[in-house]
Amino acid sequence: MISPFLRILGKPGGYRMLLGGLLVFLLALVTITGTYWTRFKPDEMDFEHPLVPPKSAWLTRLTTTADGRKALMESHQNAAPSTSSSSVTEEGDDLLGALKEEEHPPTEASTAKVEFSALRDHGHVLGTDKNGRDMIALLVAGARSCFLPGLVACAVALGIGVPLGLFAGFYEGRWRMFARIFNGTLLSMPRMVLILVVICVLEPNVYITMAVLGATLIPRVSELIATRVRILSGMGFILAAKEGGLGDFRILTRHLFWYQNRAVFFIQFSLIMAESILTETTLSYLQFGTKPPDVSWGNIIEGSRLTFFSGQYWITFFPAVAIIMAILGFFYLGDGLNARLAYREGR
Amino acid sequence: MKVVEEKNMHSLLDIRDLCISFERDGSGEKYLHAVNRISLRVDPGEIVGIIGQSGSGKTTLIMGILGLLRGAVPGVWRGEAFLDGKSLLPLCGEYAEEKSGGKIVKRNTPFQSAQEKLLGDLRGRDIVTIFQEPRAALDPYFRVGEHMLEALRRSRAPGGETELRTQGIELLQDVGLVDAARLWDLHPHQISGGMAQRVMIAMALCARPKLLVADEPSTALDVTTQAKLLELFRRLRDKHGLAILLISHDIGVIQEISQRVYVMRHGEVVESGETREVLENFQHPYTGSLVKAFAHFEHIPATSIANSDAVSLLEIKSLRKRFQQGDKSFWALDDVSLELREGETYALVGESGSGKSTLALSLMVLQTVNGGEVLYKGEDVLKADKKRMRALRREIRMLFQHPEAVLNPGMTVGAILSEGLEKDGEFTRNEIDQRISEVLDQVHLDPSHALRFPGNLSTGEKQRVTIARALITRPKLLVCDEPVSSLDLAIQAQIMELLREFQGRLGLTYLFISHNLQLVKLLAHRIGVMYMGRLVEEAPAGGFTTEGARHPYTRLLLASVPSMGDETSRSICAEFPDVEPVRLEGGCLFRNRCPWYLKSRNPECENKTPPLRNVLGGGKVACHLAGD
Ligand SMILES: Nc1ncnc2c1ncn2[C@@H]1O[C@H](COP(=O)(O)OP(=O)(O)O)[C@@H](O)[C@H]1O
Ligand code: SF4
Ligand SMILES: [Mg+2]
Repeated sequence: MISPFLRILGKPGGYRMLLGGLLVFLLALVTITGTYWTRFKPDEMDFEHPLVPPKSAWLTRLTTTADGRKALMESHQNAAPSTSSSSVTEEGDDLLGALKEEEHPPTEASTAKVEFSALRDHGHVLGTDKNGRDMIALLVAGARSCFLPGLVACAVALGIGVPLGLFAGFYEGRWRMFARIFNGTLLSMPRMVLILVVICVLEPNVYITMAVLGATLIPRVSELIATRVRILSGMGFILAAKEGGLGDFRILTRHLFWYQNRAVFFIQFSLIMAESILTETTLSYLQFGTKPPDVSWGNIIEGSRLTFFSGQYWITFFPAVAIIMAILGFFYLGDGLNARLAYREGR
Repeated sequence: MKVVEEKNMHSLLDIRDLCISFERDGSGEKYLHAVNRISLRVDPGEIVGIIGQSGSGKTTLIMGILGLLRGAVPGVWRGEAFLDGKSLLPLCGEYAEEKSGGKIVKRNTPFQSAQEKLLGDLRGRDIVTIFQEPRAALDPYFRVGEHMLEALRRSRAPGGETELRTQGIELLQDVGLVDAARLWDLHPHQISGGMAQRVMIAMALCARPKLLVADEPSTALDVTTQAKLLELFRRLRDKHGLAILLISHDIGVIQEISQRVYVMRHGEVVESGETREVLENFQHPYTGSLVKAFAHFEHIPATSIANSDAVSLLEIKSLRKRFQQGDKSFWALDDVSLELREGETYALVGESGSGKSTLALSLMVLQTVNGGEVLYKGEDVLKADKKRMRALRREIRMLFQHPEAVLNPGMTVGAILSEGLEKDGEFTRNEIDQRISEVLDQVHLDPSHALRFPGNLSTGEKQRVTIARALITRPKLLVCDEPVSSLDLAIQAQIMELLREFQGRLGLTYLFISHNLQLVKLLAHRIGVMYMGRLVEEAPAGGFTTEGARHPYTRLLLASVPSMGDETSRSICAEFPDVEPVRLEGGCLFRNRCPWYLKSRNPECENKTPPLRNVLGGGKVACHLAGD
């Protein structure tokens, strides 16, 4: 059970591959199974508990300074009345209880205790945002909205780039000319500008945006594949495959793609996923990507812009960690695969 | 005892009990003993051969005594080596045997710069080396002349640029490069492999060395070029008293030129002595396998299919192919016509670049042609449509020279074999599996090989797989392009044996392409000789001898085959001028190398392409002056 992992570890790029693979696996797992085990829905607003901090005290202590904790408490005292005024007052015994206790100014030591015991049972393990949405539910929904657009980008970049590269490398002549013009045109357009233009002209839909991102990556993918195919085409086994009576289609799909370039395919897949997550979060943060009420890590952070400095670190912190983990995961996976491939081909 | 010592005192290179090892896994426990207790001696003015298969440690031995393995762990760790009485070995390795335990440990005496200098002086002055790939050893950015000047300066030859140039040109002429003044300004890629090898030798001679070590100097060369190189070695020895240590895997080369020989195997010398003595009365079975690799072939008489009533299977008519090379273009195939009869082996020989592979690829329709017909059972293969072509590709199969290049490293042997059958969905999985085990059995491989990847098969096994790959479609005609040239001698014999066996059992017809004339004679019924894209002679295997050959080029080829001190061969070779093959325009393309033309200056040879005409004895020849 363990031994294949140990074997991978020993290989060049093994650590990166394993770490990246683990992160990507977790991300995929969360995306797929998230809706079954999260306690709240991402659009469920718990008006009684807006901006509650993560449930466990040590998490809060770990991540905030004493000053920060103070600020946190103050903000809580400020926020609470405003929430109670905006929400229905006769509900939420817990919160009222907490407020009551806080009316008697407690000692420094007992403050934190009181605060956390009071909030113990609201069920938001990682806290809530300003609308009382559960952070865990938001993060899970965000995972989905970074995976799916990423897949769209990959589908476009690889779905067009790989065949184009195969043809351009194998047939030379017209295909190569076509690829050169096509790629040259795409490369001459700055990526961000292109994306913004498309957003402005069409409706701002994250999938369209990601498709555009994928398109801008076609040149890279197709050039990479074409160069490899051009070299491989001159090699004995392609000649031998022709001699054996294999048609061009089979030679392209089997020999050139599957046996010789599938590693490149997976590497590019990982790297493009990483890039598209980055782009998606950036765009969402800039409010060009996923629009509320749809959730993405980028727009969670965007929504927390105002609360971060007043001590509600968690709304920014957890999505940021998720973004970094996801990008690192895909990037490490791709990079590790790449090192492995380079090692195998170097032998 | 006294006698022995005295003899050793005179020897130029004296290696005693040398061991060179490499650490296997970094633990310091397991070693690969690449050279194991070798003793060897070269006397002044003597040509000594070392023969052994690839991987037997020949090159390692040389690198070791030259101190080129110093980074290796442990590298040279035991033994002694003297050059002209000076010990080489303290300079070669950093490891030695522990006095008591026999373990290899690092010596505590580090290298001293004085020693390094001494070694640097010896290397490249008293002892010089030339390697297999001459062009790889020449810097492509420097002209031939600059290489020569550099070598002369390094050997501290006195004089200014012009004097050095004169000296350099003399040296180049000395090694047979008549056109030295023109060569002086050329870059290495503009000269042929044979010329580059001579430039290397000329550079080596600058330092007036005592010993020349030649590591497989002729392996990458044509037989004709090789013959000239060996002649040059002989001359250098006679004229300059140069001692030569010649390393080769080719027994013919060793046999032809060396006085004494060491037979190496797995890092050990298994037999040594006078060449003639060793090769005739060998004691060790390994020497026997080298000498007799093809011996049993000669006993089986090639069944003569030369009788012309056998049905014609493949007919090539006026095939032409033009290649563009830079801004020049030339005919790689110029009006080639030949015919293969059912069940025969037609061999095609010629120097590299003569168009043999081009012919094979053209008739396999793996390349476009510029004209001509390829008739398979009367049907023009070149005009077949896709569907017909697929059927034809089952009947006409091809073997390639480098099996490792042909086998896709990502596929199992089973996948490689089944590919040719899977494509049309005509066979069920069961049938395919059955055929796979059948062909694997035919090529004497275990059925379990089907699950292995090419990467962990030996070269011989790989070539067997490519043969199985061809046989699985039950072909009629097999085009073999140098199928054994990249293999070791013993494996060559096995593969040749296999090919013969199939011909007898399955009635296959072969078009067998090779540059190895001895090999060809073992298998072929008829032999065609190509020169610069043209078929210049065709002869039944029996008539393929220096006496029987009609075309001067065929005679040159045959006489160039190394053989033990054969005077007639050497005198025939001497008739031919020492010039490089060049692509001439019009007339007979061979005329710049043809002794008959050079003597008679026959105008026909210049103006008229000699047609391929029938001669007595069932052959054909394309030469104006050849007799009937
Ligand atoms: N694809 C190609 N483009 C240009 N020249 C080629 C090509 N293939 C072969 N040639 C040239 O054609 C000539 C014949 O080559 P080849 O058929 O490989 O000879 P052989 O097999 O007899 O050694 C050589 O001069 C070679 O350099
Ligand atoms: S045709 Fe003339 S030049 Fe050519 S081989 Fe014959 S004699 Fe020599
Ligand atoms: Mg060839």
